[in-house]
Amino acid sequence: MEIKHLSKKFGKKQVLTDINYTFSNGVYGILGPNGAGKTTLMRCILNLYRYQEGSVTFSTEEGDIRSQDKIGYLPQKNGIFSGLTVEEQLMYFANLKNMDKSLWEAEITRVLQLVNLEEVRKKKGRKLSGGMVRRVGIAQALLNHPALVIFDEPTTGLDPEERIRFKNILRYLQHETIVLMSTHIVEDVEAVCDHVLVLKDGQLAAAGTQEEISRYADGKVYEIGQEEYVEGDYIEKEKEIEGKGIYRILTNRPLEGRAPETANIEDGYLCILKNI
Amino acid sequence: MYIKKYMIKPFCTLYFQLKGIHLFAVIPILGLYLILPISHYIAYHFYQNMDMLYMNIINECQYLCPILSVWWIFFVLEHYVEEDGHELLYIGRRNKVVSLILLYILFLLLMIPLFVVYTSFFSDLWWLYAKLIIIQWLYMTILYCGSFLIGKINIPVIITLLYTICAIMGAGGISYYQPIVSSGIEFVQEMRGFLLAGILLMATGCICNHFFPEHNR
Amino acid sequence: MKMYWKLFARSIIRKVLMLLLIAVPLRPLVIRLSYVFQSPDPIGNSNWIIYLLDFFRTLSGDYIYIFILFLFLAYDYFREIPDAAALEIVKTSREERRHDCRQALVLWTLLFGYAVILCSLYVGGVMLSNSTMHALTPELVWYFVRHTAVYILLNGSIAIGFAWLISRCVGRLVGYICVILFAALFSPIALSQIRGFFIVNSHIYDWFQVCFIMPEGLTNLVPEVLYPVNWSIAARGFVWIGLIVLGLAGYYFARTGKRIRWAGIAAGICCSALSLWYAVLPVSYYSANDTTGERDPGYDQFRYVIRETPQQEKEAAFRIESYELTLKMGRQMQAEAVLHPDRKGLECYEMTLYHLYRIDSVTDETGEALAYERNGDYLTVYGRADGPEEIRIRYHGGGALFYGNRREMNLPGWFAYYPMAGFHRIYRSEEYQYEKNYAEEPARFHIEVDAAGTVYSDLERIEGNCFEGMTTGPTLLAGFYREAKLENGVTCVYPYLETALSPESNLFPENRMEAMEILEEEGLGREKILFCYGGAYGVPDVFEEDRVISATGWLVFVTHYEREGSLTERHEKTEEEKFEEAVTVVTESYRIMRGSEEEGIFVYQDFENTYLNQMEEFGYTETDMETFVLEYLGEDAWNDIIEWRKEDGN
Repeated sequence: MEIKHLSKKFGKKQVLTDINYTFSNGVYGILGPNGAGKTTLMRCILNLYRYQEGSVTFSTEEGDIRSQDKIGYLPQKNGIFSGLTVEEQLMYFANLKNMDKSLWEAEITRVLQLVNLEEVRKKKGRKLSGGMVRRVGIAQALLNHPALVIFDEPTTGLDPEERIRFKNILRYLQHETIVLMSTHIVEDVEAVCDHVLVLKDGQLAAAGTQEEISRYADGKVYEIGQEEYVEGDYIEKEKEIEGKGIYRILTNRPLEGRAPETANIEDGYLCILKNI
Repeated sequence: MYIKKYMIKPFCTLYFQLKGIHLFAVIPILGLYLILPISHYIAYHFYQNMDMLYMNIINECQYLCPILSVWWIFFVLEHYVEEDGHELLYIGRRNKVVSLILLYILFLLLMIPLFVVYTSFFSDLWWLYAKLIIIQWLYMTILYCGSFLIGKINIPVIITLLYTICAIMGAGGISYYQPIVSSGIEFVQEMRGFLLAGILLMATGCICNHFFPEHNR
Repeated sequence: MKMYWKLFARSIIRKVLMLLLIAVPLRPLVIRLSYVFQSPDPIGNSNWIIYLLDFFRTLSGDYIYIFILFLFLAYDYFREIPDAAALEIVKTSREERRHDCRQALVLWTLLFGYAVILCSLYVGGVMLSNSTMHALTPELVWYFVRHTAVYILLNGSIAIGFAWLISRCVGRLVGYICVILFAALFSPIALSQIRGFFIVNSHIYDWFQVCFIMPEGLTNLVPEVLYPVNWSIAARGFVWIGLIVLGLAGYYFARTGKRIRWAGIAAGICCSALSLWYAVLPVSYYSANDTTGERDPGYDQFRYVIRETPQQEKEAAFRIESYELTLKMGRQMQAEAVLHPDRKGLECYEMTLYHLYRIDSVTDETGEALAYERNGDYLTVYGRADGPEEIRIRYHGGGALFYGNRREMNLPGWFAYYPMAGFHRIYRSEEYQYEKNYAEEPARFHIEVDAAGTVYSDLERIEGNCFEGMTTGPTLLAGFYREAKLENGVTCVYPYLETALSPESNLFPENRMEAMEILEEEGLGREKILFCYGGAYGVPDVFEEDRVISATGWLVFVTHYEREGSLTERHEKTEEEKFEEAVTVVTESYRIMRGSEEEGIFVYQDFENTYLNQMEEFGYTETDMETFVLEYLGEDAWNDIIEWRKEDGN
């Protein structure tokens, strides 16, 4: 999937500016602060929003997969028919995706096993907990072996065990599917994403592997005592060691006699956002 | 493939949507096959007069049928327009009018047995059926256009229900309610305004649907 | 509380609804504006504003719209928290009840302010016009206050309470449907429809009727036609208040506070039950024959014309020399009539008493019961060989059109609200009018009326509401009446809300002068006339207490005299006069149809029906229509009629 010069305005407000990137099979994490344009980007890819400039193209044999029901999408909040069972919900979505009826049973069983909802197959929607509703949403996104799957805050409402299971699903998908995942939880990105895109003010501020993103913070991460703090340093974390307050900071100024800490993806992300 | 894609799929969707409404889905059937017949029976029983039965059929059908015809459409549109995650439904085919038209046709089909009975007594009541086809079309398009234009279901529902009350109370100029059944040229003259309004609203609704959910973000 | 007002004002929907609510009280102003701009052709090029004003006036006139607007307003406001998915947060903070009460207080404050404005506008509307200013009495102002309290405050409270309950108990969409169904079902819209379902058993209907907080037959509030306002209507509202309290108590205290929950539920049940009992209470007094709809003023037409209830005419074998009537006016009239017949020892005394008065007892002067038979409008009291000196009849009830209650009375002397000697027709079916039955010779009447306010009668007032005198039929009027002396010394008792009748009004002075001359001619120079409502078909619906019906004006007074040749008597029309009248009706109907520029088969059918209805009794048939039209309307008219008929292809 190739995005070229994608720009989107809402009224006079420029929401996305000249986004360029090429996606291939794998898991891509989209990071960015609130209002950066993550959801807008995903909706433009899905053709839910019209963009003023640019293009989104797919190089597959079938052509544009968006019209081929080979897309899975999990919105930030997903709803459910209160009167239908879990199985019937998935049948509804299978029907929407033009799946062959003979394949429904097997496919629904497959996705239910993936999200661990096989036992509540016959339970009505109104009796499901919030986490179960979310898992049903994940399950419908996985129906019909999609070529592109977009998750918007997928782990919201999931317990730790299910989050691990979800990460396993992503690992399972990454070889055959383009997976885009928008999240605020950096640990999720660290655990599964091959590539990370950082959006800032509607622009693609950085994109690359986890190491490449981390490198933005190379030589800029220090742990110092509170008394060493200087205005302009960005305090990433505070902690206490043996009663003494310690700051983990991001800074451009060289600190003599101090070795910088090993930067991780979160450090790189923050350096990109704060222009450090 | 063609049949599956374009014929069976909408019916499957319809089946799940109606099932999802649960118990509320039976209201139109109760209205058509319980409330209406009881009303007719009582009218005939009290007056022992076929003329009064005729009047009763005309009145009750005009009061009840239009609002019952859009009962399912209320819930389906709520699902399309306001439900959490409804944008998922617009990735492939954006236009949802097919579902609504199917529901509209389904209600018309449900009315047929009733009108077969009516017309066995009063042959001119097929004109009433024709009138209801147009009025119910208008109701459907009001909801369709309103929902996708505003992005909410409550306002079109209020408008539809208020319009029903205004029509029953004979608000001049906009009411479809008539105590007599027109036929022939009078029918065309009476209904052309409503038909045109329905077509206009349908066109507007289709345009709004095409741009939904973007313009309602 | 500021936060709750801000929350209220936040929504565009609520702002629109408030604008509509504000527009409704401006209705009198809108009406006056529409009169200013009125033109003969309301849908002309530049007159869309008039059409819209007219439509708006019609739309905003009925209280059902105010009720619906408050319902939606309240429902939308109460849904703020659940729609914002904040209900659980509010519940967690244990502030849910307080929060909801504050929201209710905001709405109720708006409602109260609205009621005050509306009441002020009603009063102001009466004051603004020269023709109505004289009608501004404390009585009328109190009526407006009572009216506002019942129809706006009480009904508005029900709207708020119902919306509150529904918003907490069901989902949004279903809630909207519930509120509109509530408004539609329990209002005049559905009343006439639902009544039909209860035809099979009127008692069920009578009890179910209390659900209808706006009685049937409501029309716009104009001075001539007023809504009924009384405790039985208010009690209906309290039935609903009780049910809502019950529902809210169950909802809020479902899991906590058992004692308070049961207290709330008990209070709700008591309130509803007592109110239901009170609202239903007078029902049994009305339905003398257990037939639904008897309180409908149009019911007599149905009873006598369509059902062809038999009426009798039989001259009495006796004359009642004197009457002593004691009338106690409450929810209905409770009467004791002491009759002194001129002949004793008759086998039976045949009398007429309107069928909606139920006989409680018939005794003689010693208190001994006399056998009697009641058959519709007719009462036969069986005498004794030594004959009763007097016959005491106790009865209660009341008619729908000619009614009497604590505040209002409309009892013309020719109406059988008191026992009349002999059997008389009550209703003139062929003319859709009540029969005016006066005694052949005057009798002495002594009438004592226990009512609120002043009662007026053609008899001489002795003291308070006690009257005495000789008359062929005593008329009793009470309510929005006034007594005034006309220029020629005649005392006129008239409904002062009828601006056309008021001697103080500047309207129609020439008709009034003409009427004075007629009164002089009739030798009524020092006498009294009372304007009371006729019994013609077409009067507005009324069947509740406190209701005032539109009366005739001076012009109609004059016209009636010119037609009948008498003010109080009605002369029997000759065959020629009847024929002339019928021809006039047919020719006028043609002119009206032609003038309306309508075309089509309906016009032809209308004309044909009018022709047959009027002329059939004179031997004219369908085949004679051409001859008739050519003779009385001309060839051009016949050509028009053929054109109308051709629309059908005939």
